[in-house]
Amino acid sequence: MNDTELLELLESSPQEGLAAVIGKYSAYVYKIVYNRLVGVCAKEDIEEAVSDIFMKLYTSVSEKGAEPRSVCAYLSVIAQRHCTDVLRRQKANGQHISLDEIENIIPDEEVTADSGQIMQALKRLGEPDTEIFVRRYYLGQPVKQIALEMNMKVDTLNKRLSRGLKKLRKMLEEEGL
Amino acid sequence: MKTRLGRLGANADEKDCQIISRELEDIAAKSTIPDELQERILSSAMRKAGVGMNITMNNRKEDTHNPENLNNYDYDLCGTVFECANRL
Repeated sequence: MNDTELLELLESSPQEGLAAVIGKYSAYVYKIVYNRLVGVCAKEDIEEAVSDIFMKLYTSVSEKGAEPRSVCAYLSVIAQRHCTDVLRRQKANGQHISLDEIENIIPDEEVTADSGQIMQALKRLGEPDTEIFVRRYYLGQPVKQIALEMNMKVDTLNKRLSRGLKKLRKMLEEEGL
Repeated sequence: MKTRLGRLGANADEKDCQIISRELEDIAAKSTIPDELQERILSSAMRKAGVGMNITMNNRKEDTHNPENLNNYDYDLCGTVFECANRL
């Protein structure tokens, strides 16, 4: 079932649509949430966050009439924002959060404005580098896990990341960013 | 550069992510989780959506005191919901 059919089903029969979306995307959303919240939340809380994210999609589409062009992309945004909210709540409650995570949840207007251009630059890297960078920096996957899932050696992956970072920096400098 | 990239998760909106939707779809297609974890997520989301609350326990009659069955706590809704999902 493609995304258009999933969205039509969510509108015409929300419950069946929700079941179908979860059947197709639960592993993907779990991957996003796990990478952001592991070490901060218990396994049960990670599962709870995943089901909350599907509820947000359900409410957004079937009740508020949202019409995402890509369910997959839309879910990633909901998932990332949900994780950011969870991390902020944890931090507010005094729970220890790593410096990397704190840095990633601080609002940054400049970066917000640049996000589209950075995504365009990532896209221009070309495969397999675009997927590597999306996994590493947008989804926050560890290098070893990426290497395993993309059937690459860790050394090769690290070299691609290093070269890719230089290319990206150059591309963004040429665009004045 | 790494900081800017690291903040994409918190800052990118739907329009930005549309640019990398093909890569995200590929990653989604390759992602897997155990069936029982997927069942728990489905059951939890359905319960939050108010779905299946009229479905009675009709497919699980196990001894809940048996430690081997302790992970089945949410399956009262799953059988029917999954049959529904599988038909799709």
